[in-house]
Amino acid sequence: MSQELLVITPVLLALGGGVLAAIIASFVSRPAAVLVAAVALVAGAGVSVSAVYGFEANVLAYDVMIGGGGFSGVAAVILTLAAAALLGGFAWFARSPSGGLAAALIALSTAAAVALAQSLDLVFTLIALESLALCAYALVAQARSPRADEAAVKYVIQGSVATGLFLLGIAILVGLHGGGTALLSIRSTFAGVPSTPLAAAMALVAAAFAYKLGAFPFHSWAPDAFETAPPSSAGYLAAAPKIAAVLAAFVLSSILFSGPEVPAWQLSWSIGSLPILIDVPRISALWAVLATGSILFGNLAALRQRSYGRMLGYSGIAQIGYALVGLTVGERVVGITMLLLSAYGAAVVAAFLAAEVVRCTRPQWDGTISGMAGFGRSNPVTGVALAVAMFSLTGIPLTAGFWGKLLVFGSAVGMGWEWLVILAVLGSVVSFGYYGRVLKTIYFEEVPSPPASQTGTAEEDSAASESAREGRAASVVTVVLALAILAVGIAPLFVGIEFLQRFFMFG
Amino acid sequence: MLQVDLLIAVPLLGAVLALLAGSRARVVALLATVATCGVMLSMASADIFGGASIAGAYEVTEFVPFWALRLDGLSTPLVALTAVLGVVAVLASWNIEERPGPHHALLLMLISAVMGVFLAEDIVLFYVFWEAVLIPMYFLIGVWGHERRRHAATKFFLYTFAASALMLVGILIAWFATGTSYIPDMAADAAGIPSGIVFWLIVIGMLVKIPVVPLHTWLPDAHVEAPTAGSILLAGVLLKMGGYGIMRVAIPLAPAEFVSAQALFAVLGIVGIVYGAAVAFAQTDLKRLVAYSSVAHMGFVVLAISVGTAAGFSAAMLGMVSHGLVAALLFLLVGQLYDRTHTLEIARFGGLGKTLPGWATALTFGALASLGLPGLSGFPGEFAAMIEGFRAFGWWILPAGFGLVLGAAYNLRAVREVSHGPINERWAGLSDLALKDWMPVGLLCVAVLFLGVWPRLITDICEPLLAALGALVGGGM
Repeated sequence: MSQELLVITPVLLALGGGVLAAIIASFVSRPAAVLVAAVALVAGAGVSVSAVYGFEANVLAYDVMIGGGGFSGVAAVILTLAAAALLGGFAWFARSPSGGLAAALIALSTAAAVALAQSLDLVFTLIALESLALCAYALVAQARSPRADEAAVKYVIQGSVATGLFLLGIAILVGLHGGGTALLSIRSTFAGVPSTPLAAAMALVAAAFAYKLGAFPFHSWAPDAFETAPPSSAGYLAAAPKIAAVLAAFVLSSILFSGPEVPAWQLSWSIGSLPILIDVPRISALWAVLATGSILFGNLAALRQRSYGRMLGYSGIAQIGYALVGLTVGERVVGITMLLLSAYGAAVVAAFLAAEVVRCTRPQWDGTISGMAGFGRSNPVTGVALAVAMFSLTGIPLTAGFWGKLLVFGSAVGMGWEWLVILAVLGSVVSFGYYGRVLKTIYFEEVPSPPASQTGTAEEDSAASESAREGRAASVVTVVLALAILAVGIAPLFVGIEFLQRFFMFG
Repeated sequence: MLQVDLLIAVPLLGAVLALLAGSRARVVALLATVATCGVMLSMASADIFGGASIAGAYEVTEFVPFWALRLDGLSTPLVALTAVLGVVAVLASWNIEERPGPHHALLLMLISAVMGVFLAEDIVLFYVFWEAVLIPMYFLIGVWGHERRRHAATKFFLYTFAASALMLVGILIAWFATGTSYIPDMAADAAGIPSGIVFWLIVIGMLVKIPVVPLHTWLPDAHVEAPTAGSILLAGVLLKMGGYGIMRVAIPLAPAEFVSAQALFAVLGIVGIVYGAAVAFAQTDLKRLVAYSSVAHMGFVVLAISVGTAAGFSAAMLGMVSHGLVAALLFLLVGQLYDRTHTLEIARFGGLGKTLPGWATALTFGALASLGLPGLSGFPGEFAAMIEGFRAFGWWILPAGFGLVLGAAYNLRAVREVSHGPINERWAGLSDLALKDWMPVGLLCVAVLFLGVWPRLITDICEPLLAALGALVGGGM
């Protein structure tokens, strides 16, 4: 297979899987549709993995996509996590009336996410971003409750604003360049362009990405979306699109907005008679502001949440804040930032799939953290897997999350961002306040005894056991993800981190 | 050469087996901890006394950047302490009924992680184990602890995690400044480290662990709410991670900064001695009393470290091992009493010397060791700390002497009110220590007596390394 083909095959597989799944769901059966979509995603992941080791990260496909090396590594992670969400939520997708369509949407939006992560052209980025967002809106609305509708509408409206900003930013960039949309060619003409429009374009693009990432202060859609979407879809949404968008932000900010040729933006004004001159608000400074806000706000807001989904939603804002620390440091750390995000993605998918298990074993569950009391005792294996995910999200050693944070924060320290790292590290400490509450609830509290009126009839018992059986797929996938998190967390002690870096090598 | 790795691997393997063994987990755990002691003893043939050290199976190479272990004079006493207290902890929780499999598995994981802290020669590995210790301890307190266990577990985790997160930033700065995470290489390149920020960030993590006043507030809750085995390991070995870390990591990476911090360390040590003893004296709960006595004893360790001489470091090491044994003995006895009476309020006891003569004898022995009676292990370390402190700081250490007197007072008061006085009829029918209770108690008593008579067992091992450490910081003020 030619290199070009190898780069686009995963996208085509996901796309084809999605279309096929939609057709099968309508005319054959929902379980078959889910399986087809999942198989397509797994196959795409396999192709991407082969591209990781086959080529350096400089394979261009039709001038709009870049692949090989770390780009394919990120694609593989996105495809794998999407497949994990599909397989883990198999029971829900197969049973729910709109489940087949949801599975198709996940496959389609995965194709968009992979395309976004590998895009090298502004228009292609825009299309990928929009397709991704459209699928995401539909997935949020899947739950078919008034609250889900509200969340989806909120998501759509805010997303449209983001699109508008992005489009405006693109327009400026393309205008400055004089017509072309390929990133590399735009970059080459920047010497001598006026700095103010470039700075405006930078701010617009950064704001648009902050929306898509759910970074503070553009975050308000995220908690609603994660709370109301079905757990497996929410897990997918919390992981794959964010990983893709961060890589795209890296590409844009390192190709377009950094380096000595990019003119600095000078601001001067005065307070009273005191003149103030601010120099070089390069894109790093923007990312640093967004990172600071996201870490502070996400962590503090997550502390207050009682709903498990909302807690994960707000904590996702903080996690994006850690990734923004990587963006602040710049393109040198793109690989380890992707490692950090992949660890986050695996853990958050596991966390949502564990919620799926809770939902199946406790049909009365109201979605709150306290409703999970004693889960670690009633479901010991899934409980341990959930605990691993929580520790990884906190960044405790022996989990993948530790290495992501260690390496990103370590590089930031080396580049003079000590204050940001201290903030991020303290944010991680605060995060144990809410991740630890989950541990406390599932292990230190007793399983609530069911009210007397509900125990008894054999019919209900069999319904309950059938429902528990439905959670089995989610349970298995959660455990597999937890094992992967542990393996990635422990192996570097013995073999070093090179094998991880090899997977995320960007030239 | 694999032996050193076995110190970590054997308890870890035991943890897996204990999880599978179900109701026979305690037997597996006992075998695993005894085997760990065996591994430790098998290494006694090496010439550690002569300053030799045993490296782990892997040396740092291009391909193995983090997994570097070394058993040397600084780590040997604490590794041995951990191995012994592991056996004691398993025996102390012999009769645990609630989910023994996970309990013993966590206990063994804890021992394995602590071993890793003491053996790690790479700073990333050190940090990994340092944090890994928190996980099993968190669950031990939270699941098997007493009434306020949930609160205590979270407080313990958050408090020490916050401190070690700051430590991580310090580690990262030093790592990127020197370009290596191998501690000896980092120390060799210490001039390139921004010493001020690195020293204080790292030391904060250690000081919380020790703990020094006013960073100690997690300790009483965690110690009191933890199950007996948890308290034994918490007081016995986890606190020592702090003192060890200062000597192993903080001082070598930033010796100049330590010299300028000596006076502050001395103040922290003396405050800990006096405050810990005074608060212990005021306690009405026996377990809380023992918990606060830890603050006082670790104050002597900090005072000894602050002197910055080989003799001072050696006093600190002696103090840590001794406190590990004595605190374990006292927590063990307190736990045994609680198993029988389900209360630890000092005022409700009295005359237990009559009803539980064996137990009361052991308590008296432990209290005497705790107050520093010559001939028992508490004496040489704290005496040397006082002498060295006097040499370095003169009469400024007088309050520490006052703390010693208070130490005698609270220990003897505890013995008097619990063992002597009028017999409370409520406890008349209690059964005294059985053979299985005596085994860990006897083991600890023998060790306490042995170290009291022959403290050179410890000091001779660490002598060469501590002399080098003393020379590094200029041997004093």
